[in-house]
Amino acid sequence: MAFEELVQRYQSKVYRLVMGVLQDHQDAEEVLQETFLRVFEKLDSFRGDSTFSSWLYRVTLNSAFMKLREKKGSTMVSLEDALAYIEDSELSSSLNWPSGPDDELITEEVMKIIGEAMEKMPEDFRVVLILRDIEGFSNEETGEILDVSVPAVKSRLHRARLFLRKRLDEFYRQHMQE
Amino acid sequence: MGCKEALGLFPDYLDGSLDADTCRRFEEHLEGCAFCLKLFESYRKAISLFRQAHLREIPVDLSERLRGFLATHLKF
Repeated sequence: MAFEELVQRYQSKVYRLVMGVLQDHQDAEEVLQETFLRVFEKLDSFRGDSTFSSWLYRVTLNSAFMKLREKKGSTMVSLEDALAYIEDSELSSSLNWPSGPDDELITEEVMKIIGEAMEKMPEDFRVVLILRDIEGFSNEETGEILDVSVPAVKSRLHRARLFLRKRLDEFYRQHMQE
Repeated sequence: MGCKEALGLFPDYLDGSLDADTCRRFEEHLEGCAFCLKLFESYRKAISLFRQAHLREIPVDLSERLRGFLATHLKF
């Protein structure tokens, strides 16, 4: 495959991941460019021990986390704060959410709530959520990409989803009372 | 099965990775517990909404700038 074709095929996947980690358009663009430069330089070192997309995600995450470390301390929510919030959220709702097809529930407000929830979530959780629920990797593949155990992947995924659910639940609770 | 145990099984149930006996006990719990059923439905819906919100393609202008950047640096 020509490199240009490779970029065409994977650019949206890389974009989603770097935006998911960085939550900033300008940073994401820089990392996107840097990632594909690195991929070009390192392509010969890809040995086929893992799938190409797993390898590509590892290269992408290395660049994204490097960028994140440069900015560390700016707007990050601590893991402890997020976890406390998630634990608190687990068994807090008995609300009926709106029924109907999900694509009709994706309003601008809901998009905003989801975006804000992502910003407040620790990056380790965001990444797992994207790899599992957007890109469709298995727990094992996600663990391989992130170099963490399968139980750690499963725990982060569950907590990230509960965090997201909690934010949406708060939104619907307020919205449906109006 | 208690509510806490059922809550912990949401991901595996959605992955279809529970063994037959645990799967049956999980479903029985949800049938008999309106609270957990609502929680599970909202959990599943949150995942679906997240997918729809985030399964986006790269913006066209950004894709064009990336192409320009790589063309300059890699000369393809």
